Parts: sequence; structure tokens; C-alpha cells
Amino acid sequence: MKSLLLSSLILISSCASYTKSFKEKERTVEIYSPGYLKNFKEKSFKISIDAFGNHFGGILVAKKLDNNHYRFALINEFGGKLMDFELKNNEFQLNYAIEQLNRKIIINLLKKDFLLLFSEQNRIDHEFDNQSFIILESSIPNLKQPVYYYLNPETEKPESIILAGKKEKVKITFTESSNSVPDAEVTHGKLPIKIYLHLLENN
Amino acid sequence: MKNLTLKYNFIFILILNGFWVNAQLSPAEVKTLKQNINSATADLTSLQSDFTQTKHLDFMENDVKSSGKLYFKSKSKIRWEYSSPFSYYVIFNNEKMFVNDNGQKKETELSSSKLLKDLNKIMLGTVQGSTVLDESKFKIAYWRSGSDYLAKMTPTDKTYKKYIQQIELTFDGKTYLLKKIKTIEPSLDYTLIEFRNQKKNITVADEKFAFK
Repeated sequence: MKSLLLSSLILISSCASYTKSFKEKERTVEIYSPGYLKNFKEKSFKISIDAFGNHFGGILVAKKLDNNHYRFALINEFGGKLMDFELKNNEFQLNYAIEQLNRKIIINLLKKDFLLLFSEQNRIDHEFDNQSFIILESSIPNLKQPVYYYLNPETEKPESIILAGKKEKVKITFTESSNSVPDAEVTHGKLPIKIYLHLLENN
Repeated sequence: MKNLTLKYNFIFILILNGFWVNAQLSPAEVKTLKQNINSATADLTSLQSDFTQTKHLDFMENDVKSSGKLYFKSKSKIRWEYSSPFSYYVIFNNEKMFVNDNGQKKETELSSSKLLKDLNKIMLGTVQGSTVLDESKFKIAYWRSGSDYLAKMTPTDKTYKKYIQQIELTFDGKTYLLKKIKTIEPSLDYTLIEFRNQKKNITVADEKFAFK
């Protein structure tokens, strides 16, 4: 009986909403696009992926073809193309991938991460305040959970983007920099997969 | 009429000139070229060179450019080092590969993977031009290109065909060292590596091949 009570308590607490501790306020934003996507034409990034103890490094190139339409290519240091994909109106389209990367688990992971990073004109459903941030809740098509933009109340720049149902699934943390696109670190809850992006200035 | 003849002469000269600039070599010339490449690498004890790498992707307006230095010491020590757009180097020494990716280090035994062995072979091939001309995996056509030589390699090997449409190697007409490598992918995107300031048989410190 005691254990049943305990497990139902755990169940209740794990079902608690992600926004439980937030204070909802009147919406001041209806449509939101992260500032780093404004004036985005084409850029290249150093990308590092640490997954299950393995390290992979390379270059990510990104080009904006239209609003909510981006094309990306992942290349290794020696120039070999590993992957080429597009996000168009929140749909993921794979143009090319080497066999080793052409796996559902990898594609789904990249799809989620890049949708979080590169979605524009997102409809805001709720707005919250906590002590340090303005938090905008949005639902991005093709992502099952709500997305939370944590904005610095003074600069209004995003400090993190979080995909969360009851628990945090994906968290993107930005590091303040003078670059047009800040450094980003993407973590995936308990999964040991981390992605880092750093804008390359000379390209 | 005179003008017309002049015009035809001019076109004729242009065509002729084109043939001279990019003429396919005769079997005898190919044999001589291969001998020259072999002897250029036979007495190679060390090499130091600057390089630039240009990655062209058709959908991008700007190419992605990288640059760095290449160090080689006979028989098989090699350091391929990028300094721009970020620091990254790979060292092959003593049947091991060492990678330093902006401070993140990793050492791997070459015996652990066929892919790494191939990578090592390709890198050594960029120094020892003769070994890169692999006729068991490529159909190779040799051309004269201005004062240099061009080897156009089309893969016959199934695995290579998936990734490579053609590799174009340019050998310097005087030193017979590899000067340019252009790897064209089946999508026609390409990577061009150009070597400059090639210094043959100068002292290269062993330090360059230390795993750190």
C-alpha cells in the first residue's frame, strides 16, 4: 500500500506541467522569430557532436532560401559532404546522406534540433514570467511538445530554447557573443548526445 | 572576304591553341610522366607545404575556404594541419592516427579501421604522387595542362563511385609534385586543394609529429 502511494505520488509529480512554477501573464508577443535569424543569408559554423563517447567535428553550412526555408550541408574538415538537408515550412527533406548517417534515429534528432533553431514566425500561445526570463510558449508544427523561448528581459535575445512535454526533451543554450549568431549548445535530456555550433567569421 | 579568312584563321588558331593547352598524352608520354613522378617522390625525405582548400556547394553563393600546412617526413610521418577557419590537425605516425580538434584530442590505432587506413593512404598519396595513381580502383586519363600535367581519375570501384565522380590531380611540370587535387562528387559539388610554397627535403622537426 505504501509503495503504491509512493509510486502514485511519483507519477503525479512527473505528470506536473513543465510550466507549473511559471507565472502566466498577458501576451505581449503574438508571432516570434529568434533575432539571429533576421538578416540571415548564408553562414558557416563549426559543428561538434559528442555522442555516446564519440566525438565528431566538421563544418555546417546554412543558407536561407526563403522565410522558413533553409538548406544545410554537413561537411567534414577535408571537404567531404556527409549530409545535405532542407527545412521547408517545418518539413524536413533529406537530399543526401552518407550511409553511416542515413539512420532514422540521427535524422529525427537533427530534425528536432534544427526545427528548434531555425523556425521563424512562430505563433505564441502563452507568455510567462519567472524571476529571470520572459518565457514564450509556442507550438512548432512537426514537433510533438511545446517549445519555450527563454528571453533576456532587457535585451529580449533568446538565452535558451527548450522543447518540453512534462520533462525537458531538448535544450539549446546560447552563449552571449558579438557574432550575428550566438554560440549554441544542444543537449538531449538524459541522452548522452551534445551538439555545439560556433559561427565561423571568415566564411 | 579577307576579313572572313582572318576570322577563320583566328578561330583555327584558338582551337589549335586549346588542343595544345589541354592535350591528352600519348602512351609514351604517360610512361615518361609516371617515371618523372616516381623519381620525384623516390628521393623525397621531407616536404613542407602551405595549402588552401575550397569547398564548392552548388546551393551556396560563397565557397567554404580553409587553409593550413602540410608536413611530411619519410617514410610515413604526416601532419595535415588547418589553421583557418579553426585549428584542427591530424597526424599519422607509427601506425596510429592522432586528431587535435581545437584542443580536443584523440588517438586511434590504424589497424582498428579500414577507413582510417584508406585515409592514411590518401594523405600519403598527396605527398607521394605515384601511390595516388591507383589504376586498380580508377580509370586514369593523362593530359597536358599548360606547363603542368593533369590526371583525371574516374572510379571503377563500387564504393568509391558512391562518393566520387572524378578526381583531378595536377602535377607541377617542373617538380612533378602534386600541386592541386580536385575531388568532384556525383552531385558535382567539389573540393579543391591547392598546394603552395612546396619545400622539398628541408629539415622538418620530429616535434611536428608528436601526439600533443
